[in-house]
Amino acid sequence: MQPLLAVEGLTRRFTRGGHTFSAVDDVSFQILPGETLALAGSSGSGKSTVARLVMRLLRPDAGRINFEGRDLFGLSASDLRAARARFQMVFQDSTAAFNPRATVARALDDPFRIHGLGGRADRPHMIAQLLEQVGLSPDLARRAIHEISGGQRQRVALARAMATNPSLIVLDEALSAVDSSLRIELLRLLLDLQARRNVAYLFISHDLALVRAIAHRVVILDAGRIVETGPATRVIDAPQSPTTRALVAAVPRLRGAEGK
Amino acid sequence: MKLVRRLVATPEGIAGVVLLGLLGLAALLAPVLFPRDPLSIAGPAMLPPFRNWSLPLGTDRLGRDVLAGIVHGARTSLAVGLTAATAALTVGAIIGTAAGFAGGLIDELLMRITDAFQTVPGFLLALALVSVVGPSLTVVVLAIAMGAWPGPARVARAEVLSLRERDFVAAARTIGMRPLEIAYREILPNALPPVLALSSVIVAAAILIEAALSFLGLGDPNRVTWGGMLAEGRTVLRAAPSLSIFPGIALVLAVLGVYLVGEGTVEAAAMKRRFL
Amino acid sequence: MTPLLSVRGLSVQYRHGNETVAALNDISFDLAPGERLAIIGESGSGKSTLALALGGLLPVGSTVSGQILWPALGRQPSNGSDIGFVFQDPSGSLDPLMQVGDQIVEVLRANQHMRGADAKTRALQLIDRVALPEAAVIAASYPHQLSGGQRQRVAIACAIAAGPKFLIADEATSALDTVIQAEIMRLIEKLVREEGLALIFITHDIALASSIGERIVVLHEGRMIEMGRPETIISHPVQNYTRRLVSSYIALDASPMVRPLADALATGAQ
Repeated sequence: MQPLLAVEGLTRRFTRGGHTFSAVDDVSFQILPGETLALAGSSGSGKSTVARLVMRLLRPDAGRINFEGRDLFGLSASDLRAARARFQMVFQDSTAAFNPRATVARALDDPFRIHGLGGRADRPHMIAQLLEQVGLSPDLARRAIHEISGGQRQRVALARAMATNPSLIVLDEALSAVDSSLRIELLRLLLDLQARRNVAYLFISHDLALVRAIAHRVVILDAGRIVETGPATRVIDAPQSPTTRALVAAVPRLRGAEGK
Repeated sequence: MKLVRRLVATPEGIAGVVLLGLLGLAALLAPVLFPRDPLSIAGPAMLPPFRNWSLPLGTDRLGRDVLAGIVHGARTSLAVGLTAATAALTVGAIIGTAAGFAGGLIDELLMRITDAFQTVPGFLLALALVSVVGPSLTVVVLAIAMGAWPGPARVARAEVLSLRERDFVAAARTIGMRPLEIAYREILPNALPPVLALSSVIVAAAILIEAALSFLGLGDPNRVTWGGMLAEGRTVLRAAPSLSIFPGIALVLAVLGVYLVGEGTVEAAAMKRRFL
Repeated sequence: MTPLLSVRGLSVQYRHGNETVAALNDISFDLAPGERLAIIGESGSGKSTLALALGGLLPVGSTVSGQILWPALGRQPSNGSDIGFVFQDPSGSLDPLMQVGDQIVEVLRANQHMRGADAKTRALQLIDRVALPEAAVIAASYPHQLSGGQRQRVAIACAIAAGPKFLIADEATSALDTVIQAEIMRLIEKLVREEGLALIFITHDIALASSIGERIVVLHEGRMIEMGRPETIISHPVQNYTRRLVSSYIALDASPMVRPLADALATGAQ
């Protein structure tokens, strides 16, 4: 089956304080339609840079990114704009990811409007439906983004990403800033949406417990390079590389739980 | 608006709003309160103030009503002040946003143009334009705006430079928003608050520049202006100081009112942060 | 033993425009010297308000009722020399324009009136204490030159510099990735144990709370709804909310939630 996303030899360097370093160094991976690939590593491993490269917010110094069979960096500006409906992103900080002056309705209206989905009269109804699909009440549409809770805001961010029915969503530490008690609900929501819409996820996280719960496969990054890859449960239950072992060991354990 | 409510909760805000409110009301009601042309002769020349109830502030050298002059002058001053400031802020915000968002060569070019306008003192620029083109209200407004837009432009550009790196701008790009829409619909409205903070300074400066131009005889000759009244009063300063004092006080009150509203707004904005 | 801290019926209200919001409602607990208490709550539960109240850092316009007593101290505590604070955002608690060594010196100067060479030496010792290698290099660095984990270690050094007997950590590891978080947790545990500090560790993560706390307090919507030892609370939660908190923990050996890809392709795909 043709991969939805094929990343080959991706490299990106940055210069900071006089010296140059590779944030991403020769990274290659593929995502199949409907699959969840996790990109895991600690901070500085390059995973967020990979996310921004995949979303075409940054240009690579080397490598190719093929999305739905087309070279992402070979697209013209207008082709890219149209293609963007097919791949979307959810950011870590839900407060920073929205225009501070926006309402929920306006934030969700933007993707519909930009890609010409539905006429003006239809859009309030489409927005209401979208909110329901992420488990929120349609009444929330009227509220200002900064007024709603963090968990609700991240659901709105997910709704915004789903508005154009993309085939790939990049989740860049999307659960890291959410209270741990709310993460499991968001995971269930993500899995539910995946089952219904067959959307693939690039799930970026430093928390291997989350990765193991939601991902089919995982790629472990360290200092911009891939150090291990494979099915999520296998890699995490039997880690080979020291980086993976450190990440597994760092997951907080619940003391006092029965049988543990 | 919540900001307005908070504004009138501060002492500066109340004082400023009252002051400007009175002046604004006077300006609006000028044709009602003083339907006769203020440049027409209303009574005996050089009548001292507080003698005659129909001419409370007296008359000038030609017998024109001083109070009518003050009230009609308010129209000119406030109109020029507000229009010039609006023009300067609008032009400055648009150019500053373009420079900050586009970066590179466009940024360089726009900033050098801003430098050029900024190095010439605002008053001299206005003087030059009015001398060349001719004195009319429109030209005066344009002249003042030409000198005042660089300030807002720089402030807008600085805000945009920092806003440009924020996640919500990246999010707008990932949704497929066009750059022009991102710059003017997402970024500019969020860059405005510090730009608007300059407004009171610009309004005050505009009022004073207009008064100075009128004082030099370069204002609109068909209108009564406080500056013009000051110029007239100068020739009889010893004999009738009130002819200079009253328009002077009017100028002070107008600028003070604008300043107090500005300070009150800053206070009100700071208050908001304290409770969040 | 005389408790270090005794909170009795503490309630805090904020005034927000015309409304009054109750952030904390009738909080009561004791803290013994050297004891480690973990306070677990979601955003909006009032946990940060509690930290601020204990340090006398509540904003203007808050109404406080109830008592915060310090029996073992016998007087009102002073921040720095009696209580050390570690906050969530390491960039927020450090002055961006000052070298970090100087910031530690400032704490020493303000609280222990140490000066000059003595203060500098002590600052270097403290940087060592928080397990940062090459103390001199770190001391000469500005906050933006350090990583998140390094900054948080410096913040901890500032917190313990004046020798307080009590540390309040409010979401001290929430902004860090799991590997750094584990290191900082180990550091806090080690320092608290070696210096005999009492600790209040505030978090939204029940696993962290259970690993560091000798006792756990569960905060929900401003109220204390449950308190007890981690083992008890986790194996036998009484309140529904506590039960929900415990069941929201994602264990590494639980069965994955995701469906195998082949299934998904067979059933869901177009």
